[in-house]
Amino acid sequence: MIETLMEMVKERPESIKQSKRDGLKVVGYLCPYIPEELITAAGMIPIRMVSGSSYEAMHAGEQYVKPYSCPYVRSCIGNKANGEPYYDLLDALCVACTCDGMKNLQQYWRRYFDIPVYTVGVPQTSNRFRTRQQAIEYFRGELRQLRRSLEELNGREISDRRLRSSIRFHNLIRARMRRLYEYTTSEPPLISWREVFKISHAGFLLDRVQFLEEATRIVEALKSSRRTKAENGSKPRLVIYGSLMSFEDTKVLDLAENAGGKIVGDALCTGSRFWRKDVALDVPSIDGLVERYLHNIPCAYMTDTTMRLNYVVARARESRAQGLIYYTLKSCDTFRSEFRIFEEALRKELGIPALLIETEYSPADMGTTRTKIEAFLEMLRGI
Amino acid sequence: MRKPLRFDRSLEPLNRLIETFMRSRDRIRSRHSKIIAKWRLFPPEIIYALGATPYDLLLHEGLTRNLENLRVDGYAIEAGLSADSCPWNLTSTGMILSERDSPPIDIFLAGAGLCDVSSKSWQIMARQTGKPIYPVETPIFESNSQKRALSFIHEELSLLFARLGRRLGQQYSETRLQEEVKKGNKVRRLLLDVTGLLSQSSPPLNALEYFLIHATAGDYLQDPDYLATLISSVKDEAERRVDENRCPPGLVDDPARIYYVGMAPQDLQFWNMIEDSGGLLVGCETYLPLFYDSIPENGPVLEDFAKWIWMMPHHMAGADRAKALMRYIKEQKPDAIIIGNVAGCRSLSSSERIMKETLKEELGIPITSVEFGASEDDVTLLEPHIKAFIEICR
Repeated sequence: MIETLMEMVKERPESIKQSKRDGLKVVGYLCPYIPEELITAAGMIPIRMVSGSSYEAMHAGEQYVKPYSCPYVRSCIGNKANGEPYYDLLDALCVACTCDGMKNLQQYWRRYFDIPVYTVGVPQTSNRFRTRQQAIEYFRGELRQLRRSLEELNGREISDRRLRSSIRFHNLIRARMRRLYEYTTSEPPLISWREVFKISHAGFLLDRVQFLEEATRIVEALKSSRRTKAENGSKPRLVIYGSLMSFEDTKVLDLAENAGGKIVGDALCTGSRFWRKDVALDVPSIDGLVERYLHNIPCAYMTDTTMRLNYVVARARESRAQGLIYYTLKSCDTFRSEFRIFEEALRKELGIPALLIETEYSPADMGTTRTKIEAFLEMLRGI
Repeated sequence: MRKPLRFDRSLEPLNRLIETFMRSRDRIRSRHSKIIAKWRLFPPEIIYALGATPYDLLLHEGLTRNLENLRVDGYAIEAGLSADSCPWNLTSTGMILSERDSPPIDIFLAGAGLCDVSSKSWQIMARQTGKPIYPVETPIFESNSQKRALSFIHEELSLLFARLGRRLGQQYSETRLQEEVKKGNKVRRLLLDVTGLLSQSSPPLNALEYFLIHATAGDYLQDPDYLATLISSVKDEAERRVDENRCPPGLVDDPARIYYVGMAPQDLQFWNMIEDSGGLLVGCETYLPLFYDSIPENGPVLEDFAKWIWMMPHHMAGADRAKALMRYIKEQKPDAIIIGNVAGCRSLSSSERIMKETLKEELGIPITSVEFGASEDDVTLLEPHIKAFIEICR
């Protein structure tokens, strides 16, 4: 079902090169606080930098930042230093200055690599329920500044009409992805969570028009597909939540599946969290973007835990999970520090346990991670 | 085997100041006002203006743990902090959660947007102890964001005064804040004066003493008036030393003039090591962001305060921070710079390469960087490095 998409992902660097030869510019971004809508409306290609997490890249990044900084940040710097295709093809990088890692990353890209870096400050203390007006005003200003920077980069105005149309288009993509996620929760599921997670990653890398067509094709195919017989329930059902999980970072997922577990849902920013909540069209476009991006389920960088806690509990409940894998990248203090809260809440609300996995893009911890996961699954099976 | 700390006992006012510093933990127990644990580089005036007492939690608890050789990090790790995160935060969080002789904190005031581990450890402490937490956020320093950032900080301060004032039963008053700013500025000017004395050809203070004096900017040792009197006396004595061309004990002839940039180690032994290795500390940046300049006293106080906070060198990214510090470093006429990193610090220490390169480009003097871990052995292990570096500089 997703082979075509995966083929397209493989060929994507080449197709980007072709687009660049045709005069299109490529703009990368990292955190989900950068509205893709602005990049699309500026007539450029958005790429979310979710590919390239490898030991080599991480190691190369250590020539710049400390080995005790976030592996994702290290690999993003290392990939650029190593000239990896997705990173080398960028004409600009947008960095939402969320955690310390992102703040460091933008400094190093600015100083050592020869492309413009646009930063967007993200207020940490705001949430949907106790909105600080100054946070909204500040973030609005930051998005306006990003809009101007993108206009200058491409020499083309982002008109309100164009922005609105871009918002509509991205809402459509989000709707398709949400539909695909819904199909993972049916019994039996029409498509596995693992496949949808791969589709999700493809959505950050591929041309968005092609991606929407492909996602629509998959949704249509699933609609008319026959339900297969339900699997027997011997495999413990797991939901995964935590730090940014990139395309190639499949260690924990593979280990969980190889140990007999079944991942049935996520609350990751490269997964379901990214695709929820549309941008409102009945307000001025920038206001709609501010509302959507500032008040979506927040990253652990944000002070308030309630929204993400509720979201994770809801995801776990909806996917009938028997356990949660709390995945944190080493040195990701924001996620790591909240594990106990989530562990406690899941036990209290749903009566399910959580397993903390702290890892990085290295095979070194394969053995210990496998042992932890196997022990966790044995506990879930009641062995 | 740990060496005992070597203090300069020959100046009486210095003894008094150090003693007052070291007794901060005991002193707050006898205060009748609410004790507010503040993030290290948050200006204490705001707390004084609401009739409460600030306490620089990281500094005092971090040093206490080290001096008393307590093992409390486990409490912080159990509560959620990563074992490889900043030792200052691990210690202060551990001290609070261990409930072993913990300081009597009533409220936590967190600096949001500046250091992730600090923000999160403040949240953990508040949650576990059931005490209220008030975050005050400073946006990332970016020149094209200045207008909206200043307005943001201004609103954050207003909101803090309103919320914290309600809890403390105190109405925010501009006049009261102005009074506290004046007191704080007096301490700032004195700290800059004392720092200025280190630029002399024979500086009158040793590294350990200067580090402790400059770190008083963290909370003014709970009494800015008394602190100003103490520093003023130290300054007078130090000036006399300069006039009489007397040096503090422990200095070698023709020492290398060292400026220190970055996070300080928890082990105070390091400061003695500078003199033991043939060096002389002529300045330290660790707490400089709290006294880099005076806060304007006669204008619109909240606006001025917001601008002053925005311009604190600590908020800036590596290259901007290095440029902002350049003036202060040059004034001290150093022969060399030591950049201190704390293992597990994801903010300051991670921009070390940029800091080092920018300072090197501008100053052209030898620069080395050292890394401190959570163990006291780390400082001892650094001795050959520091000795070799200082030897080369001499």
